[in-house]
This record gives sequence, structure tokens and C-alpha cells, in this order.
Amino acid sequence: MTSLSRFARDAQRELILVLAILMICALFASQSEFFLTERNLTTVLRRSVDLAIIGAGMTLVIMSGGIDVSVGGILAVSAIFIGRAFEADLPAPIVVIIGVSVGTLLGLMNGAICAKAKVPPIIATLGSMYVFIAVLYLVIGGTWISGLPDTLSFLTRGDVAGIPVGVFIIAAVYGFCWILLHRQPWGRHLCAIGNDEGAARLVGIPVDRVKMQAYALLGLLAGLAAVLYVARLRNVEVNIGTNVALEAIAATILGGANIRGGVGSLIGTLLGVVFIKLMQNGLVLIGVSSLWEGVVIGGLLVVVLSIDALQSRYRYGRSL
Amino acid sequence: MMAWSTHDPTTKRLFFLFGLWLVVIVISSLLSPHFLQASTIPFLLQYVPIIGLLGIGQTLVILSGGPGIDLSVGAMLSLVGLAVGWLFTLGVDIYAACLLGILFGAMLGAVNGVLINWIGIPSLMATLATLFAYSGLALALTGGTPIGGLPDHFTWLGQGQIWLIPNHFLLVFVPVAIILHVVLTYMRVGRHIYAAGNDERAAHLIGIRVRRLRTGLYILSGVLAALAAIMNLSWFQAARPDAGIGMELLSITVAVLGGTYIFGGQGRIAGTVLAIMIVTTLQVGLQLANVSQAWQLGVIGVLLIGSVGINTLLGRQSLGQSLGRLMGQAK
Amino acid sequence: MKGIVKRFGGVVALDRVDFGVRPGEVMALVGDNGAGKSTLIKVLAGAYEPDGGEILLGGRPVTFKTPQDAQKHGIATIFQELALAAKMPIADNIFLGQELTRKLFGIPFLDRRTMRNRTRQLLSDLDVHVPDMNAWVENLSGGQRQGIAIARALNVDANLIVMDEPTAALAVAEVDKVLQFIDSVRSQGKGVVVISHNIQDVFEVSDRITVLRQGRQIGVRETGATTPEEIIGLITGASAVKVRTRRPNRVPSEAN
Repeated sequence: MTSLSRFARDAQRELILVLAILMICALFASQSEFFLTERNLTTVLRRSVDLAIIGAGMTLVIMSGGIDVSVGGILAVSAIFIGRAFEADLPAPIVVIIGVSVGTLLGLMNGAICAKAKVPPIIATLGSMYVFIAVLYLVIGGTWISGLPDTLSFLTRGDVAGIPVGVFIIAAVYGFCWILLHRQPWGRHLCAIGNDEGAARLVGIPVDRVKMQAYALLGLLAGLAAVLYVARLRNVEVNIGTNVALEAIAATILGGANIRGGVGSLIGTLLGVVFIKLMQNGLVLIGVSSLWEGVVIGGLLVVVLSIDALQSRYRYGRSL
Repeated sequence: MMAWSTHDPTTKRLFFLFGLWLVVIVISSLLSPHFLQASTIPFLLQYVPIIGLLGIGQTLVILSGGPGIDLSVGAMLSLVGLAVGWLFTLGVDIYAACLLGILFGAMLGAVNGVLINWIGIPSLMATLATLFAYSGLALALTGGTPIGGLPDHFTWLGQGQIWLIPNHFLLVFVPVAIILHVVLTYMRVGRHIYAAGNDERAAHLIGIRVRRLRTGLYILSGVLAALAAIMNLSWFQAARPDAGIGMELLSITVAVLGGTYIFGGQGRIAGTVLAIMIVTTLQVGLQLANVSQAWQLGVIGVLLIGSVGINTLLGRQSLGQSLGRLMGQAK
Repeated sequence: MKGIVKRFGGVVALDRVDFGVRPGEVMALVGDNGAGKSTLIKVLAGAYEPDGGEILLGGRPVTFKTPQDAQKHGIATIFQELALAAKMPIADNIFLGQELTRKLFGIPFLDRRTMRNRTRQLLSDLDVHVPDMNAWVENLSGGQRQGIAIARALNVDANLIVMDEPTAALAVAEVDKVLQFIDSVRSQGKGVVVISHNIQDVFEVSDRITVLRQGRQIGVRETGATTPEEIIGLITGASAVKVRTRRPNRVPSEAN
């Protein structure tokens, strides 16, 4: 098998996503001259950073065989702490540390419930999501935290050498996660756990510890996303983080991850995020209600999942 | 078969849930003097049927294993509601529209069933995708605005009462719950469902058509969502595109709280019903005490996690053995 | 291993089991389903901690808290389920839990080149042929997967190799390869424990046989000094009939 055809086979999902992205770009560009402008694309980029970094963490968690539907809640609660920290006039670096720490702690809590109390991740994170949202309502309720200072907004609006800061953030996060996954024993352990948890235990992998670390990392990234969110919008309001979990999961699965664990692609997730964000942006620009985005994402998920499922059917001749 | 022995973990679960319900009732009456009145009961029962039907549908889907789950029930509720409302605005008789709505719900459920059981997509992913698609459709087709103008004579189902008991509770929820309980517990199909959830391969070898069975349950989930949508329409006299938001998570919550094992094979309708009562009583109790709904969310979240933690203890061994193990692990 | 006890909940899986292997010998561990064979070797492999009893290596007691502990003491185990991660490449599987690293700026990174070379070497030593070194393990045949599981055990510098049902799912030619492999390990002076329900293989390759029944060790025999019938009798308990009548309080009045 030539190395080109092997590349095509291994990177199949990523290539499909690139194709899909190119297709919708072509579609949107033909209907709106604003779409392919630098201004528009950089705006999309800046708005994608939150989802992108959460997507990286979500990829790792899903690859370990778990899931976390509470990330929106983690983001929200972290944002509350960040908002309050700003109101207390704490210096920017401290605020960032607080936000990230809160996120990490909440993620760790999720991990502990899943790994130690043996609660299935969907249930555990459903429950914790309720708790986080409850906290959000109780603290914010009818009144937003608003009018926050723009000390950190360079992170979301600024450029370094002409490239938006967001690009560097994404590169750093994805680079870190990629190294963790492919060049560190931890990543191999994570993969093995997602493949077969029993087997991983038999070879001596500290399964519980690795799982908790994965959830903690996702929480950390959610906290970081909260920092960026607050920096960008300078307020904390009730709807914060409502769709982020589902979109992150969708991006991860579009990117090639298997919900059962063991398989996943960081590049794919990033492409999935790009697809989702371009879709949201493009629909608005061509005058179609952005409300159609759910249908498109859902439809693409069905297509992609079906291809996957039918392929493995064909390969292994599963009967049931 | 389902004898009421106290060593049976599912029976223990029912007692636990009943006790929990009493606790909630006590707390609610402490929080508000208005709670312990006769008028509270119809008020409470009013909220039960919609989440009730969704919860029962979810229970059956989860029971049959796979693992099975249906994240799209809330979206199906919204979409069917819109479909019925839309048909009515086209001039279709409201009751005919309801029938068509039920058919539509079955179709939506069938999509799930096929994706999961015939194409082979894991249920979490498949129903996540249909959740996106269906709720997206609901939003997109209406632009976010509800369809109103349903006839007043239609509200008898959702707003009417017989001897203070809400109609939709008495005439829809109770019969459906009883029928499905009987089918699950006393009929062959019910045994098959438990078998498929416990050991898929064994069930298949015995000759149970597992795929068809599970597909049927997803269709049933769609039908129940459609019924819930109709009751919703009758209650609010309008079809909202976001009517079902959050309902899928709530339906999973009550199913699991009610003792349904997430990987299938264990669970009872009675358990789910008790869980629904607990959640609804909590909701009403907090409402009457003017406590923020946020507390309800938080308590439900804790209950959900805690109940599964207890489930793992109660479900697989006796409580004594479990405690012994816990202590032994504390080295 | 002396007096090993292992309980799961209320079930006693191992009831004061004594078990021993000498260097340069192949010890077969046999017994019916549920006799406790897999449990015993999981205790030996460090995957389970015993509730009672002790493990002695060269006369000195040792405790294993993790499988890596057991590996450090020179015990390599090949489990019945193979314990392979299906959607991962061969080299990753062979080094699962024992990854090699090299330091870059003080941070340890996976040393993939060394692991790949070592994998190639191990596979050629074992005469296992794979179409593609980067293939996922799930795409390989049963025999190839067994070969990879064995390669993983070989990768541990072991004095004792434990194999749980190594031939159960293999074709005849592959069974031969495994038996030859066991022979070669023995001739290197290492010890081998083989669990098998195939009496033929047991008699072909082992030096001694230990029989477990319902969690108890009920006999150790020299392979050369026993017959398949006797072993099967011990496994199924046919000979227990004889044993049961010899109760102390039924000894005839000679004891008086």
C-alpha cells in the first residue's frame, strides 16, 4: 500500500471534514461576498477559541471511554468566580489562576464521581450539570455580573505579529494535548483505558488516576475558556455555556472519536469546531436563519456516524 | 416471579424511593404552610403526565440494553407539538391532527431505532444527532415563534379535571403506566426486554429478535413523546419550538433515580413513577415555598448521582456485604 | 505461593491454596471451570491482592501491589483474554504499561523508535508475521494476537512466565508453535506456568501438574508418574468418593 493511500485511509475522517468545510465555504462565499473577507474570518476565529479548547479536552475524555455533559456548567461557575474576582479588583493573573483552578477542581470532582464512585459518566455529569446550573442561577439569578474591566481583552481582541492571539492559544492547547496523547505514556494509557478498561487494569495501568486526570484537564480547559469568555464579553449572564457541551461533543464525534472510547483525533475535533463555527457564521451571512445549524450538524453527524458504523459492519461482519 | 421479598434489590429500591418521597413531602410541608392542602394534589398531578410518559418511554429503552438511551425525546416532543399545531392551522381537525402527530412521533422514533439497531450507531451518538436534527428543525421551521390559536374546546385534556384529578393524568398517564407495567411484568414481551438488557447474546441465542424489540421500543418512545406533546398542546393551547428543552435529561434522571440500571436489564415502571412523584413534589414544594427553582435543579443533580451510587451498592449485593467491602477498602 | 486466600464478596475463590514452580520446569495448572485457576494466576501477576497467605520468591516473601511490581520481580503473565487494546498498534500494545521513555529537556517522552525496533525483534524471534507493523491489533488473526501477547510477556525480563489457556483459541499449527515456545523457555532455565483444559497439551509439555477444584488445591503430580485418567478424576472429583468415606470418626474400632 503506497504511503499516500495509507494516509488517505488513516486520515479518512479528517479529509471528509476538510471537504465539508470547503464545500460550505464555497456555498457561503457564492451567496455572500462578506464571508471570505479577512475581517469575517478572523471574527469567526476569535469566537471559536472557547469551543476549540474545550473540544480538545472533551476529545481526551471521550477517548478514555467517558463523557462530560457538564462542561457548560463548569464554564459558568468558573466565570462566576472570575467575574467576582474582577469585581474585587484582583490583578489579572490572579483572576486567570482562579478561573482555571475552579475549572480544574470541578473537573476533578466529575472524575472522582466517575472513577471512584463508579457512577456511569453520563449520569454523573448530568447530575453535576444540574448542580452547576443551580449554582449559576442562585448566584446570578436575575442580575448579571456586568461591566467588567477589559484588562484581559487583549487575549480575545489582540494580535501578535498580525495573527490573532486566539490562534496561539489554540495552537498551544492542541499542541500540548497532542503531545500528551501521542508522545507520553499517559496518552497511551488513556487510549488503552478507552479500548478495554479491564485489560488496562490487568497490565497495571492506574485506571482511576488517569481517568480523573482527563476530567480534571477538561475542567482546566473549561476554566480557561471561561477566562476567554469573560474577557471577550465582559459580563457573566444566565445563558452562559448552554450549548457548549453538546457542540463540543458533536465536534469531537465529527472529528472521528468513537463514543465507546479508544479512538479519537485532535485534528479532527479542531476541524469539527471549525465546521460548526463556519456554519453558524455563514448561515447568518446568507440570510438563512442560524436556527438551521442544528439540522445541518445533526444531519452531518448522522451521515458520518452511519459511514463509520457501516464500514465496521462490513469489515467485521457483525451480526447483531 | 416478582415476589415482594425484602431481599430483592429492586423491591428494596422501591421502598427507598417511597421513603424518599415521604421525606420530600415532609420537607415541602415544613417549607410552606400552603403545601399540605387538598388543592396541592391536583396542582401536583398536573405536572406529572408529561415527564411521566417521557420517563416511562426512556425506562423501557434503557431496560432493553445495548446500552440504550434516547436523548431525542425532548426534541421529539417539540417537533410533534409543532407538527400538530401546524396541521391545525392548515385546517385539519384537531383530533385528526393529533392522530397524525402520534404517527409522526412513531416515525421519528423509528429513525432512532433504525440508526441504532440496523446501521449500528451507538445509541448515545445516534440520539445526540437526532436531538440536534429534530430540535434544529423545530427552531428553524418556526423561527422560534410558537404556533398558537388552538381551539378552546381542545383544552379539556390538559386543563380539565374529574373530581379534582387532572384529566390528562387520569385518562392518559395512569392507563399508559398501568398497561406498560402489566406488559413489562406479566407478558412475554416484558421478559424479552429484560433478557435483551441483561445478556444480549443469550437473548439472541434463545431466539429473541433483539433488534426488532429495541427498534420497537424506540418507536414507542417516539409515540409517548407524541402523546406528551399533545397533552402539552392541550394544556398551554400553543405549540412552542422549545417545549421539550431539558426534558430528555429529566427523563433519564427519573428513569435512573427510579432504579433503572443504565446498562439495561434492571428496572421497574413503579420505580420510575415514584421517581417522577419525588421530582414533581419537590418542584411543587419549592414553588409553593417561593424557593428558587435553582434548588430543585441542584437537589435533583445530587439525587441522581447519589441514587446511582446506592444503586451499585443495593443492586449487586446485600447492603451488609457492600458496607463490609467499603470498610475493607478503607485500608 | 502458600495458603493463598482470595474472596470476592461472599464467594471464596481461593481457599488456602499452595502452589509452587521450580526454575527450568513447566508446571501445568488444571481444573474445571470456576476452580480458581485464573484467579490464582491473577494473584501471582499482581492484578489481585490476596486476602490471606503469602507469595515467596526464592524463599523470600514478596507482595505485589500492582502488575508492574510482579513484572519487576520477573513474573510475566499472558492472560486468557490477552489483555490487548484492540484499536491500538502492535508496538503500543507490547509496551503497554512498560513504555520506554527518553528525556528531552528533562521531560520524559515516549521513545517510539526504540520501542518499534524492539517490537520488530521480538516478533521475528517468535516467528510471528504481521502484514503491517502499524496495524491495529484488532485487525490481526487470533494466532497473531496470541503471538503479540506472548511478545509482551517476553519483553519483561522474566524468570517466570505464566500463560492462561494459551492454546485455547488457536489452530493446530499455531498450537505447535506455542508448545515449542514453552519448551524453549524451559530450556533457558526459566519457569513456566501453563493453565490449560487440554489434557493432551498438558501431558505433552509439562513436568508437573497441579489440580485445583472449587478453590482448593487437591493434588500435585509428576507428569511422568501419572495418567490422564487420574488427572481427570482429580479435576472432576470422581476420586473424591473414595476420600469422603475415610472420615476420622468412622475409623473402625482399631483406633481404640
